Amino acid sequence: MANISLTRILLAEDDIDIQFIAKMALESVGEFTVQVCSSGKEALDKIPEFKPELILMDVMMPGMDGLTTFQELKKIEEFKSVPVVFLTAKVQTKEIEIYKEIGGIDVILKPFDPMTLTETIQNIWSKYLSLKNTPHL
Amino acid sequence: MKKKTTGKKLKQRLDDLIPIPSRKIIKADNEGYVMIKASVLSEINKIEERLIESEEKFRNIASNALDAIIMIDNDGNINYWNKAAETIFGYKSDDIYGKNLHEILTPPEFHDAQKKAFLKFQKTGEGDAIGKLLELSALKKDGTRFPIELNLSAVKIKNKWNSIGILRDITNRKQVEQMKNEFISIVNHELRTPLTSLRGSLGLIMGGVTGQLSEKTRQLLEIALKNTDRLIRLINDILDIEKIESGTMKFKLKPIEIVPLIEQTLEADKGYADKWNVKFILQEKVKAKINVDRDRLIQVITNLLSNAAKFSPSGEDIIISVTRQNKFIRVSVKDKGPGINKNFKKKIFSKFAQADSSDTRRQEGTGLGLSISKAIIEKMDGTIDFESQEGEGSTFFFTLPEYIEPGLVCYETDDGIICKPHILICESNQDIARFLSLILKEKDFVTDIALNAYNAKMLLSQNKYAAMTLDINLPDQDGISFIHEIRKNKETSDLPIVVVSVLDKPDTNEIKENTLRIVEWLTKPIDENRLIKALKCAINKTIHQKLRIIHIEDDKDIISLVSSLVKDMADIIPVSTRQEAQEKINQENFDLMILDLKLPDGNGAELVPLLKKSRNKFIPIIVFSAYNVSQNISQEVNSVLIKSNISNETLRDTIISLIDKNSQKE
Repeated sequence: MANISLTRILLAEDDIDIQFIAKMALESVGEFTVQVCSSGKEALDKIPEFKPELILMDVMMPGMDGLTTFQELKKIEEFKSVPVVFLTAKVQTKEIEIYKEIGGIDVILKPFDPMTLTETIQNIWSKYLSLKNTPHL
Repeated sequence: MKKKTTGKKLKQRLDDLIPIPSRKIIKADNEGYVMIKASVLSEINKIEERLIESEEKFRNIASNALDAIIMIDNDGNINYWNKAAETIFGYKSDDIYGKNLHEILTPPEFHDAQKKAFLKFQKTGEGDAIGKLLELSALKKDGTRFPIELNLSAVKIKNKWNSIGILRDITNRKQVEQMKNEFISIVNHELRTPLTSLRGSLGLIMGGVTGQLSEKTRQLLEIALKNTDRLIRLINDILDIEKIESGTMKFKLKPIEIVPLIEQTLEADKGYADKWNVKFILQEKVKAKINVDRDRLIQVITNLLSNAAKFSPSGEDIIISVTRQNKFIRVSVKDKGPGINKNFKKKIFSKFAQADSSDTRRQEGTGLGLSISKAIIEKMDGTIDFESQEGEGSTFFFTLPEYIEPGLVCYETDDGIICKPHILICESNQDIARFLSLILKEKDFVTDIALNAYNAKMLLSQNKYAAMTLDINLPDQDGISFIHEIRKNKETSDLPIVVVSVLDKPDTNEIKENTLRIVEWLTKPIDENRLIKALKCAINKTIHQKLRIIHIEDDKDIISLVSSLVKDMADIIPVSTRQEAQEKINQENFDLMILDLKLPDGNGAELVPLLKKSRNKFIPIIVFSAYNVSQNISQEVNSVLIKSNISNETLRDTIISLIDKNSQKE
C-alpha cells in the first residue's frame, strides 16, 4: 500500500483564472493529469468518467457550494471514498476545522504559491496514504 | 413589674439608637423618660431629611437608568425591579416582586447550572459570575429569547447575601457584530480571489514554467511578485488584528514546554537569519511549561526574530534567553541594531507605526506585527515590552505565567524550582495519619491531613490534589459513599484514590468491577512500598506526561532530526539494534514506534509481529525507511514514510495524527 503515486486530480473552481493557473502548475510541475470544472454540478457529472484519485474542491462556488457537492459525492457508492482537499480563501480557524471535521483530508488556503502547490499536494497525499492504513492486529 | 432603667443605661441605649452625644442629654429618669436639648431635635430632623434625600436620589437614578437594575434576596427572589427592567422584560414590578429570578428570566437549559452556582453564592457571596461582564441569554415575558450583557455584584443585607444585577439588551449590538463579521468575510474572500490569480501567474512565470526570461523582465517580475506577497501579508495581518480586537480569534491553550518550542521556532525561522546574515543563539534556558496556543506563540516569536534580524547589522548574533522570574517565564530577543528612537518608543506597539519609512528594510514589514504580537500575548495573560538604547540595540521580551501542573506543589530553592505531588491523607486515626504523612514526606510528597469526611471535602474544594489515601471507616461518613460523592463531582471525578483500611475489600459487585476506580485497596498494617508504588503509578497516569516514542534507527542524524521535530510533545527513546529494541519493548510502555528496516543486526521488519505479541495495548507503527517497502510489511503497519520523499512537516503531522487517532480509540 505504500507509495501509490497520485496521477489524476479533479479541480472544482469557479474562477477561470485560478482554474488556468492551478492546472498549469499541477501539470507542468507535478505532471498530474488535471480535469477542471466550474461548478459543483459539473464536478459530479465529470467524476464518473474521469475517475479522479484526488479532488481539489473550492468551497465557494455559485449554485452548489463545495460542502454541498462534497456531501452529494458521499452518497455515490463508487466515489464516496475519494479524498477531497478543500480550497478556501477563508482564514477563520473554526471554519477550517469544519472542513476537516466534515471529512476533507486537508485544506489549502488561497492565495497559494503555484510552484509549491505540487509539493503541498504530494505531502497531503503521503499523509493520506499513511493514515488510511489500518492493519488488523 | 417594670424594669428599672437607670439613667446611665438609658444614655447608653440612646447612643446606640441615635448618634447624639450624651452631653446633650439633660436628664434621664427611672420611668424611661429622657429630657434632651431642643437642638437635638433639629439634628434628628436633619438626619431624617438626609435619609429621604438619599432614598430619592437612588430612586431617581434607578428609575431613569436605561439599564435594568434588579436585586434578588438570599432565596433568589426578586426584591427590586426598576423601570428599565419593566421595559426590557415586559414584567411590571408588581407582577414580578417575590418571584424566583432564575425560574422566570433564564432559558430552561441553564437552570441546573445556575441553581448550582446560586447555592454557592447563597452561602459565600462568591461566584464565577460576580464582578464580571457576562453575555447571556434571557427570556422576555412574551417568551422571546434575547442576548443580554450583565454585571453582577454581591451585597450583604442583614447578614445574608443578596445580589444586584445591572443588565442591558444587546440584541442590536449583536446584530451589528454579525453584519460586520459577514462583511469582513466577504471582503476577505473578494480580496483573496484576484490575489490568487495574481500571485499564481507571477509565480508560474518566475518559476520558469513558461520558459527563459530576459534579465530586465525577470527583475520587473520580481518586484511585482515581491509586492504581491507583501499585499497578501498585509491582508493576513489586517484580518488577524480584526479577529483579535473583535474577540473572534480562537486560542487553543495547552500546557507546553517553552524551550523545545523556541528551539523549533529558531530552526523554522532559520531563513530569516540566513537572509539577513545573522545568527540566532539561544543563550539561557529554563525547564518550564506555559499554557499557550502553540501556533500563536510561534507567530509572536517569529515576529520578534524577524524584526531583530531585519535591524541587526550583518554578521551579528541575536541572543534569545528564556528565564524564570517569580511565577513568570520571560523570553527575550536581543539585537545589536540601531536601537529605537526616544520619540518613537511610545508608538512602537501601535498599528502601522514604522520608525523611518525611508529605510528599505522597513518595506518588508506590514507595520502590524508588534501590534498583533502584543494582542496575542495579552490574550494569553502575558505582557510584552522592550528596552532600547539608541545606537546600542534593543531587547524585546514577553512574559507569560508559568504553568504548574495541578496536583503539584512547587517552591523555589537555591537550585531552582522543585515540584512535589500533593497528596490528601484522609484517616480517622491521628497517629496513623501522622505516620502516613511521614512516609510520604520522605518520598518527596507534600501531604495534607483530614481526620473526617467533612474536612476532607473542605480541603478537596480548596486544593487540587494529585491523589488521596482514604480510610473507609470515617467517623462521619461511610468511605464507599464518600467515594461515590467524589466521583460525582466534576472537579474530583478523576482523582486517584488509594484505600487504606483495616477491613478487607468487600465482595460487592461494585468493588469487583471497580466502578469506583479505586487504584488499590491496602489493608492495615500498611505495606509502605506498596502504598508508594500505588500512588506513584496513579499519579503518572494523570499528570500530563509527555508521549513516549521508541525510534529504532541506527543513523544518529535521523534520530536527531525526528527528535527535534517532536520534542515539544514527546520524548524519543532511541535504540540502534534489533536486540535492544526487543528488550525495551518488553520492559517499557510506548505511545508510538518509528522503525527503520535496515538495522545492523538484522531486518527491522521482523520486530513488527513481535510487537503485536508482547503487548495488549495497540501501538501505532511508522516505518521510516530509505527504501521502498514490500506490501507484506506495509499492510502490517500504520504508515510507511520514505525518507527522501517526506517533508519534515508531514512527518510531524503524521506522528501527531496517528497518536491522536490511537488515543481516541482508547
